[in-house]
Amino acid sequence: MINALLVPGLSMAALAAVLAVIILIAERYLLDYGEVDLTINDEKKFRVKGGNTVLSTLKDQHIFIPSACGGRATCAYCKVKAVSGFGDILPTETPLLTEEEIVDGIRLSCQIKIKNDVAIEIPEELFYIKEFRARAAKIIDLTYDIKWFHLELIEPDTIEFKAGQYIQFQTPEYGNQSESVYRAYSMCNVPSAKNRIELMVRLVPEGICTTYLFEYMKESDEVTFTGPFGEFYLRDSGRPMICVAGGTGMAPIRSILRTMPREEIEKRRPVFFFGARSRRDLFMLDEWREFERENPGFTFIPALSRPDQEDEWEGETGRITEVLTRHVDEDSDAEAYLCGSPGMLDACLSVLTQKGLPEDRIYYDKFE
Amino acid sequence: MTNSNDRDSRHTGDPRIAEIEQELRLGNYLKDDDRPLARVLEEDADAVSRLNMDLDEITSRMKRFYDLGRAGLGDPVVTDDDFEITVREDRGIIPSPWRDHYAAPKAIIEVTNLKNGKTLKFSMLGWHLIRAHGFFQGKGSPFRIEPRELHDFFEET
Amino acid sequence: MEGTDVFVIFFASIFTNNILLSLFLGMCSYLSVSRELKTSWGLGLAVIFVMTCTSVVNYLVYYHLLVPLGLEYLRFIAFIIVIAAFVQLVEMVIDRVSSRLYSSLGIFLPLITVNCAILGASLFMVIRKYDFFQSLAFGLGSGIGWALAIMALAGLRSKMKRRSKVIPALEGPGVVLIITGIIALGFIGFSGLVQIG
Repeated sequence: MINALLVPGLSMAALAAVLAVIILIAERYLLDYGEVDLTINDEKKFRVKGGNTVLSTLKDQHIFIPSACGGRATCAYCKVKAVSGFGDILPTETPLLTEEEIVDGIRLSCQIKIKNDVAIEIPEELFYIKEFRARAAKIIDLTYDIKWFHLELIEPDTIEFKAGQYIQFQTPEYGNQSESVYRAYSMCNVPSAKNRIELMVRLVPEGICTTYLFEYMKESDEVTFTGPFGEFYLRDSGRPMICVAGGTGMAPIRSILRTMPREEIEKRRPVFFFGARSRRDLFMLDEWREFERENPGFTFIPALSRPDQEDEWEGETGRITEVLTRHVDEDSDAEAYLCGSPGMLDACLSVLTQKGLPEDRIYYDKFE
Repeated sequence: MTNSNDRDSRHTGDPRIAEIEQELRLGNYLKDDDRPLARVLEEDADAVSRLNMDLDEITSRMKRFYDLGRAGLGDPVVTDDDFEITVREDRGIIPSPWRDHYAAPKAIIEVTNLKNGKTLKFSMLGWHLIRAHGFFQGKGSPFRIEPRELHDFFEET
Repeated sequence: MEGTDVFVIFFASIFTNNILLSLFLGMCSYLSVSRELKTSWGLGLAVIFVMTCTSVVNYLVYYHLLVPLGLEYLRFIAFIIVIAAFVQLVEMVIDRVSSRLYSSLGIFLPLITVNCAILGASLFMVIRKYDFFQSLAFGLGSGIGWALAIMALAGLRSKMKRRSKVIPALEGPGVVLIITGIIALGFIGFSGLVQIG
């Protein structure tokens, strides 16, 4: 009886064991690429373990390529230039690369694997991107659906960024949300406060990250983010400035304006157009009025598109585009800084170009 | 050709369906729906054909609402044919969970037919999932649209 | 089956007894990976390799392990274990040799494990009582036959994509099954050539 069970059991186990050993041996010889050289921008050289994707290998070297989809080849943020050592374009990459990019050797770093000595090129500023751990120090309500988050850095304990840049906040798993996602938010504080960042966030209905920030994150909770990212920062051109923002688009503009020295504000005479729907969507009015008093030359123009009766609003009314049309001069020599929803960006862009502002003097961050 | 071809993944025994289903569950697109993804797709496809709906036409009208409504920058826009559209748009993109390399704008569209008061609410990601995959999301998902609702909204207008 | 010539088995399993076109085994990946000639060729090669190796190994496992111990009834489990292990091996080899092929086969590679044609080939080998070389020939032949069928279909499909108008209701798998039926009819024409089983 025992034999009747033992023999089949043992023989099956033996068969499985033999096959497992074969697989282990094969893994050892086939999937071990040993140590290979990874050269970045022709200057930095790393000795890394082969066999992993460029994205994850760089992450191990503390170089963070922007990525929102977690290596699933959907977001196309993680493009790098492959100089040498990589094979043909993969079928998972083709839908996300333009023909020019393919010719230039641009690849998705989450798809290509390092199997031998390779060389890549990435933008210089990516070297400054780090992963930070931080603590939620203060959470302040700005309106019924916008909050102001102060994050105190733990490790590393200081950050270098340019006013106007953004970070990617990593939402941890919470509630019945079992997937960790990244979302981009701009800093609204000045970079000289090196030990913290401040974000303005508007609650997105059913949004994975904002639901976490609004309903689950408590003061003193620990969070993770990477950054800084983005090409949206003050250009040192000396030109007059037009700043336009809607809602939480105020964040990078606030950072930029508060970073400018008093004399420069006097010289460049920035005008800040801020669009909201009604009085209850407006915030930080007092702060901006104060800023106006302290900095001659600066003008703050809040505009409401649909003021309620009880708002008793006496300021500008109409959509932000209408307000711009009224206030911006034809062929002005200013440059413009825009931040807001994609729809607002598109609309403002067309108003400003119609006014004769060349597109290369209009700066914005689409978060794309 | 492109449209109907894209959508044919719901008919094939596409083996990626298991992977996609897992992804959809992680992202809460199937919230409390315990039915397998293939069943969800099948039952909605049945409803679509029973109601004799032309999804290509319906989704292109939904897209038109988005395009027109965006001009309101968050405020309602009234169209010539008496629809009131409010588009709420946020910065950034949402990668489609279907592993189809599509990134949707973060936009939620609310439309009211001023002639009869019927309303419709959808997200641009939801629009993409219906258009490209015939996926109306699982029961209980925040952006689930019943094919019946969609049909009724576009009826006789 | 001792009488049957090794070469007869080899050619018969490619043409007259094509595992896909006469027995309709292994349809799943046949339907879904036949859009592009290049990928079909890759999957075809993988199937040829896995089928040949597993037929041989399963022959050895069956006649030198299961039969002496009187465990023939465990052959399904044993065969599947062997097949699973081999697919793992093939996966590693492809990953090493061609990233492009690895990325285009994607999920389909592990799916070879549950490709019924592979298990089918091993079971036929037992049922038809092939000897060692006959099993080898049968495994290799069936693999080539399967690859041939999927490549024929992929060739047709990529031509069709450019030229043919298909009724919407039949697009995708519908029309593919019809085409497969016609190819299968064509293959019946070979039946005068050689015959086994």
